[in-house]
Amino acid sequence: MKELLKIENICKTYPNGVKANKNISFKLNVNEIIGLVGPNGAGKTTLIRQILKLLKPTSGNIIINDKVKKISYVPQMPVFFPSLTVEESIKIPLKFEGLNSKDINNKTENILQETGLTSIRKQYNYTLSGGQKKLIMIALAFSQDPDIVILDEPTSMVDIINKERIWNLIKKYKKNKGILLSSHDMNEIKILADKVIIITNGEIIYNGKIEEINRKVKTPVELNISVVNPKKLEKIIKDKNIIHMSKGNNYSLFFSELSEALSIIEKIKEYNDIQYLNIEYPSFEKGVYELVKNME
Amino acid sequence: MLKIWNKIKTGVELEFKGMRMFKFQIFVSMFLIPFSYLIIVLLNKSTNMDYLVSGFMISMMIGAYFGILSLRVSNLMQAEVIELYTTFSVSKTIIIFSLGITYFLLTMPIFFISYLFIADNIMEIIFKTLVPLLLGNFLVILISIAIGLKVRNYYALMGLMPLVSYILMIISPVYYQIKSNNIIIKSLLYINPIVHILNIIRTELNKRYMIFPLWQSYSLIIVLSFLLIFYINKKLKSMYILEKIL
Repeated sequence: MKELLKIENICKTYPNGVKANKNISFKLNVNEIIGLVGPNGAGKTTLIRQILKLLKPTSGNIIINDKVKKISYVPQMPVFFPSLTVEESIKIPLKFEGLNSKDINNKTENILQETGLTSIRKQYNYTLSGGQKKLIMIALAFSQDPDIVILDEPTSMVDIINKERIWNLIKKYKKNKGILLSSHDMNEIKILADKVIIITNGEIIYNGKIEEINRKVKTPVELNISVVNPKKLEKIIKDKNIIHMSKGNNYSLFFSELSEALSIIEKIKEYNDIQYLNIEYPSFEKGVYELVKNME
Repeated sequence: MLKIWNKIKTGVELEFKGMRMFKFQIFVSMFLIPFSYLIIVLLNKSTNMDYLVSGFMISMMIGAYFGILSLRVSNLMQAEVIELYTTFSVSKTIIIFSLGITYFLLTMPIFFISYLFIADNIMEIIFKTLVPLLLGNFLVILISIAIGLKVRNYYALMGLMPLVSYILMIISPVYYQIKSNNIIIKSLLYINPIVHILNIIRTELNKRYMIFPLWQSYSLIIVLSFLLIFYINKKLKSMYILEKIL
């Protein structure tokens, strides 16, 4: 069972004419985390609701592998029964699973420890912070042994300590599962996701590896350099026709790709001693920002 | 079957645990106020105890099911709550069924305490009225669930349900007898399911309380129950449930 979920050209048009999804296609494999990125209103939640069979796609197919028995979901807003204690919040869904009391108790103990919720196990949900409620939802999702987990902004409202805990939990439980992670936290996507899908205006504008995203974006690479012999550097700049700016002995050179910048550094090193070097290469965040901005 | 029963049991447990925060409100609105009212009414009337107590039972039914159950069902149909339940291995039908059972269990003690006010032959009266009482509860539970599923706006329903309860109570002989032969009043009574529930319970207590022939009331209650089951099933079987909400 490699492929857990296959989305084929799904479109969703709401009765008011709003096109929430346009020709969305991707696959989610076992042991894979796909990061779902996009601005608010891009169509991510609509896509998730279609996978959960809460909304019907206007066209296209959502194929879930026959062997997938359980899809867990952590909603963006941590809605939960205020009158239940933390422990009961984990146990009741496990009872719905049909587990016996011994298994329920063992699983509850494990997940409470892993999420660090043991100290507040007897507290009622209405007394908890937004971050703690999120932790319960995540504990709940993973405790039910799902094949696919859909996490909608799992660490929004969560402090940095608990964020780290959630990330470790996601990494730990990734095995034998497929995880769809919708998030606005690019750092989270970088740390957890194997690949990223960027959605804007209901369309996928990027589907691939995180490290390859900047190939899609024509953001210049800026090379800031100071050398012992500026005249030799100026000759290279002139010969190679490099766009540049200079202030005293400090030069800023601009390249369309990182590889060009690196080959020029090699060239400079042959005839000059470098005193200062700084490369400003567009980050993943910058890449996503540029891609989304260009589409809007 | 055992699996389904365990899920229903868990659903009932979930609902009862969910009430803990509101235990004082529930005690006041479902026990303290109704029984205070009943005692005051009974202190001022020395006859027709069975008539008043059966009326009280019906008004409790309306209060519990129309006032709370329909709102809980409507709340269940909110997008974020439906999303929450998608994380559980339980169908919407079972959750709704569990809600119905929970509020029935919550209301049952009130019915049995009410019997104590009818001084003579308690066991005999319970035995005679048990089937009509269960059937009446069943119908009001179904009506409440159907309203909750139809009006999916929780806040609108909070305003609507007291009005519906009030209208149904006004056009039914809950605490007083309607002796008018006016055709409009008779017709209004006939289309009010509450009147038929009262009719089947009261006729078992005393034949002179009969408003309509018993077979008509039973037939109407059974037909209406089947129609409501069909409607509820259709609403809940809709796979893409957020389609009609968003």
